[in-house]
Formats: sequence, C-alpha cells, structure tokens
Amino acid sequence: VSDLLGFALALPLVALLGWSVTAPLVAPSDGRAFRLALQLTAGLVGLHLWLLGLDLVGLAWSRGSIVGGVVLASALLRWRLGAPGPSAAQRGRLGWGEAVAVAALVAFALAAVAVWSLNPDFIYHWGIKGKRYLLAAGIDFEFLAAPANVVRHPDYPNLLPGLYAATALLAGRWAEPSMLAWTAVAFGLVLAAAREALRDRGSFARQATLAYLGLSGGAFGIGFLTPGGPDWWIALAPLLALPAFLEAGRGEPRAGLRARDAQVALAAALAAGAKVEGLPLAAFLLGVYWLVRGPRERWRSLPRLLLPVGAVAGLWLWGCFAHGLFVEQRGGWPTLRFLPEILVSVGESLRFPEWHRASAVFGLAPALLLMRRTRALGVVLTLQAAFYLYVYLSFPVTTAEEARYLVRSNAARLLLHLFPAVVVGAGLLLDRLLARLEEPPVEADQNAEVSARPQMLP
Amino acid sequence: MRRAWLLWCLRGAILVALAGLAVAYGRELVGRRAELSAKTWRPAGLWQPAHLQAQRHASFLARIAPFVPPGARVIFHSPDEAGQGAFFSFLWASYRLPDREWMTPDLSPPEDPAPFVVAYQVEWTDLRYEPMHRDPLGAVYRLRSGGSAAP
Repeated sequence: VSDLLGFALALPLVALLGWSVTAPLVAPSDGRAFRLALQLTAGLVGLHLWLLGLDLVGLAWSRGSIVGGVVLASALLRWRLGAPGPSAAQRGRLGWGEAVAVAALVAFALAAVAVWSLNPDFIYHWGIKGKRYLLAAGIDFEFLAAPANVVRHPDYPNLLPGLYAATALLAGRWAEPSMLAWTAVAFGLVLAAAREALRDRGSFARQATLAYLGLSGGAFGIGFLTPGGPDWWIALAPLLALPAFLEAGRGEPRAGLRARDAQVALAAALAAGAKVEGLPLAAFLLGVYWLVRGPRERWRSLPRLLLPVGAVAGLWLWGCFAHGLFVEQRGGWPTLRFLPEILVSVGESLRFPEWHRASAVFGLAPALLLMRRTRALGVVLTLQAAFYLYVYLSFPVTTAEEARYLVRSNAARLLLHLFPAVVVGAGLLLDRLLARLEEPPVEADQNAEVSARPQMLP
Repeated sequence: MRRAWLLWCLRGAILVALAGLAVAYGRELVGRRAELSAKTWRPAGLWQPAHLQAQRHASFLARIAPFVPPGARVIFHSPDEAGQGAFFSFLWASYRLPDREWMTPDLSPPEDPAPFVVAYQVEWTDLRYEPMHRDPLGAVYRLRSGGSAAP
C-alpha cells in the first residue's frame, strides 16, 4: 500500500488544479462522471504546463514548487474563473453494463498496480525518463541529448515522465505501482467519457457498449501490456471531444458552445502532451471541429481552441530545438513498395490474441462516416489512421520482412488509440439500429396518413 | 413479429459476445500472472520486473552497485541472446540504477574511455581495464591508471 503513496498524494493535487478551471470547461448538460474526467484531464495538462514552466525559468521541481505552485495557481484560477453552474444532468442509477465496466476497471487497476502487466516502454523510456527527471529535479536534457539515449526517443513530449517524476517527488521515492495507477485513471476516464457520449441513448445500446468497452479494453490493456505507457491517454482525447463533435453533427443551436470549444482544446492539449502520435491527432481534432462547430464566434473561438495545445506543443518544441533532440529519422516521401506487406501485417495485428476478437468492431468504422452525427468523429479517426499508414509507408525500411516487423511491433498499440472511439461510434450505430427495430410496424397507407397529419403525433 | 425476433437475436448475440469477452478477460488476468514465472525466453515478458531473468539481473545490479559510484560513466556489456538480450539488459541497468551514465561498448569514445565496465554473464577482455569485483553473474572492471593497455 505504501507504494501507492505517491499516487495518493498526486491525485488530489491534480484534481484540485482541474477543479479550479471547471467553470469554463463544463457545459450545463454534462454529467458528473464526465465533469470529473474533464477536471482530472485539465489538472494533468495544467500540472504538465506548470512543470514545463518551472523548467523554463530555471526553478527546480520540488515538493514546495509543485504543491505550493499548484495550490496558489488553483486559488487564483478559481477566483478568476468562478464556480461552475450546477449540472443539469440527472443522476442515473448504475446499469448492468456500467457495473460490468466498473468491475473491469477495478480488475485492470489491481493488475496494473500489482505490476503484472508492465508496458515494455516503461523500462525502455517512460519510466527511466521519469527517474532521471526526478534526480535532475527537472527535465534532464543532458540525459536526453546523450548519444546512448537516441533509442529512448528523446524528442517525445514529457507529460507522462513529468507526471511520474512529480508523483515520486511527492512521496519521496519511486514506486512502480504509483506510476501504473495513472494508467488505470486513464482507462477509467475513457469509460466515463464514453458513458457521457452515450448518455441520451437507449438503455440496451448504452449498457452493452460500456460493457463491451470495459471488458475488451481491460483484456487488451492487460494482455498487450499497456500499464505505464501513454496509449490510454491518447485514446481518451477523441472521447473527451466527442460530446462537442456529436452536438456539432446534430447541427442544432447549442447552449454551452464555449465549454465545448474548451473541451476540444483540452482534448487536443492532452493528445499533444502524451506522445508524438498525439500531435497529429490534436491537429485533426481541432481542424475538423473548427470546420463543423458552426458559424457562431467562429474566428473568435480560435484563440480558445489553440491556446492550450499551443502552450503544450510550443514548450515541447522549444525544448527539442534548444537541446538538439530531433535526432530520429521520421517523415519523408511515402513509397507504395511495401504496401501489401503493411496491409497484411495490419490485418494480422487486428487478429492478435490479446484482442479476443473485440477488434472486429473496426469493421464498423467506415459506417461512422455515413451517419451525420458521427461523421466528424469518423473523419478524425480516418485522418489519424491515414497518418499511421503514412508513417509506415515513409519509414526507412529496405526489405519486406523489415516492413512486416515494423507494423507487427506497434500497429495493435496504435489501433488502441482509435479503439474506444470506434466502440462508442459503433454503440451509437447500434442504438439507431435497435430504435428502428423497436419502432412499431406501420402499414403503408397508415404511413401516408401519419405524414399528412404531423400535428396529430404526440 | 419478424422485427421482434430480429431484435431478440441481435440482443442475444451481443450478450453472448459480452460473456465471451468476460471469460477472455478472466483468462488474460490469470494467464498474465502465470506468465511471469515462465522461464522461457519471451521478450515482452522480460520487461516485467517479476520475470525470473529480470529479477536475476536486478539482484546482480544490487550487488555490484556499491562498486560503481553514482554519476560515473559505465559501459554495460552483456551477451546478445535471441538478438535482443544485450539491449534489454542495458536498458534494465539504466532503469535500475538511473544515477549512473550507462552506455553500450560501442559508444565509449576511444580517446576518453568510460572509467567503469559492468559485464553481465560475459567476460570483458579489453586489457585497458582491470577487474575490481567478481560476482557469480558477472564482474565490474575499472580503467587502469593512465587508461592504456597493460604491458
């Protein structure tokens, strides 16, 4: 239990910082679980910015600078931004699917903190970076720039290693369970955000989707060794933006538009800080949302949308350029030479045993583009998948075997970034299908009568 | 009637799929735990702190740590098993003892060689170094004074 002390101290600090910015972030209709998801994510992004800011001005990370700074910043922000209005969402009872999802989350959390299922990249780079930042009391750019550490992706964003270092600083020691508990938080927030997107859906579709996401996400999360890595945080980003995307897809005038803007901005900032793959996702989320959000305050919304991601990405870019960290070869012109091998290997990755066939839901992904409400989400997911394909096609491999190895070594992990959003999208499709099947059958002539007398309908 | 039948079939299929996923989740939890004690070479398993080989490696590092001062530049040398063993061992060493500056043998500059070498399950044959501590699983070497090869 003492190994969880760092997490137990860091979580309330993150929650406090997130709580202070709740007012501009939540829409009146947002449910309590989604509010909590937004608050914790805002707290994480805020802590990340605070740590980067300390680094920028040359102040050491310490208990005093972290706790004092966060408490002071929280008080100032709360005073400036005010308290949020009460939630208009009704407090619902826990359904059977939600109970299954909670049970799956608890099992995931226990397995994570028991260190049964550590993400290899935690030893490889996320964890060691956290330990080095802890020792250096800040981002250890000297370590990142050392030739021996080219393999550790020195140019990756630092939200996760910074969070790990801060967690260890608060407890006074490094303990893996505290670090891995954050992945359970990410999985929990994924479930909370998925629940929000399905809140006004029919009961069976909502419960079945949440149970599916909880069980399949938990099984894959444990089996494919995700605790300690950033992948659940990236997967969370599209779900945090989903209520905004769904409302935009409905094309109705909306209350709380500014809050929806802030939610998309927060989702983009989270993605950009979590990992390098999150940077294009942030751009796609912001770009597509800005196009579909409607004309009201379109230009005035830009600073609101761009400020959080600009701060995260700007400070990341500054660190990389100032210390010469862009040493890995990325990008370039794509070539179709190994396209067949890459597509076959992506197919193999979808059949990895850790999916337990749950990845079949990706077969429904194209349907997200057909339904008006989910089209914007579908476009974001398609763009992100296209970006991953571009990376494979432009990666400097020379043989078909190298191309196959490249895809097999990471495609399933990349698919996890899209998986929860695809599951929720499939849940929305299922809801629509069930609603059609549940409609009482009407004869053709009755139909004509009904359409001729719409005022008679309840 | 037909719609109702379709509806119940769809709901039934989804519930069966969910039951299958629940069983799969349980197996994953049990299987993941059992895998940690497996002695077979599994690269992903090797990253788990509770894995037998990772524990053996950790105990070796704990024993040799007093002989390598914090902050020192250290070469980590280990045999290459299954194509990746040296890589795994090197990264584990830097994770376990992060306050040393670890490097692979090829990254030690000839004009300014690292003052220490930790050899794991293998001998270090560079005569510029002398053994300072031997362990059943390896040894610690230090650069001879002057850093040149012994006569």
